[in-house]
Amino acid sequence: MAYMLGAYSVAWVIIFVYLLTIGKRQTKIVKEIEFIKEMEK
Amino acid sequence: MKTTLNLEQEPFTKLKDSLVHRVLVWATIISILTSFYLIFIYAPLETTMREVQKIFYIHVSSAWVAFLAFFVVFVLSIMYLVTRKRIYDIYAGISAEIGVVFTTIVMTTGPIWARSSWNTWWAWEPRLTTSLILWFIYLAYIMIRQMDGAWDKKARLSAVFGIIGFIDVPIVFMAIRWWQSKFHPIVFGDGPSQKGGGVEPEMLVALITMTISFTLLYVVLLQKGVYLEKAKITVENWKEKLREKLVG
Repeated sequence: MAYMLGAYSVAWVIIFVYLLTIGKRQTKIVKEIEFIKEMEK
Repeated sequence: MKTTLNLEQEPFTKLKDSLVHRVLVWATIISILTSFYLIFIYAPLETTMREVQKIFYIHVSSAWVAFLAFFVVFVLSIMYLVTRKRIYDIYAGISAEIGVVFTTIVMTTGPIWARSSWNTWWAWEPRLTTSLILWFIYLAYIMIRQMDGAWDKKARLSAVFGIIGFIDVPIVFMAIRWWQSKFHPIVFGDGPSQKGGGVEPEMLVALITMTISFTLLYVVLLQKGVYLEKAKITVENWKEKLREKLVG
């Protein structure tokens, strides 16, 4: 039972870490857009 | 100071409104929840391995998505080299990333299963060794893409790497059929020393549903990743134009 739970937990942690990486990428791009907007003013 | 940048066409407004993306996200969530029901409640317990056998569903479906992702890299790398269109390179890069994520799942759930079934975390047998090589090949592919330098040079190099690297995918799949493996059983089809025993129909339903769920997740991640990559390129172009304006 512990092995099964361990395997499923590890798999979902890997997927969520990748989702977080994508989220970080999006935040960075949004910040850069805001910066360009500020510069344009 | 007024630049010529068209900031009204921000890349993020479109993805939010994309009905296809929303439908795909919800389809993925629903199918993953359905898979969990089928795996943990509907599918019967295997007599020898009991609960540990349930690792099979996530392990095999992750391997399928990894193979699919690397096949997409292979096809798009050829398309990039033929047409030199950047969009193919962008898709190939994101697909390789997702492929590595799912290979990482395969390479972590595998040893956990092995520890329970074979009483060892790792064995240098054909399937495991070729899978490890596959993982390293695409990690190297990602490292090539993250090097400094002009994008077209990196795209050309990574496309060549993506095509050559794909050779390992059929080798991983056929490894246990070509070379005898003490540990890895053939589940579907036949090999030199054993015949594939197959699985119970309920187990097959759970496996197919989990594979569909992960394939949908792959499509969602690919769509989102490509979109962000395009947005990043747009922002870089804006920054370059802004720099020229400031210098000029």
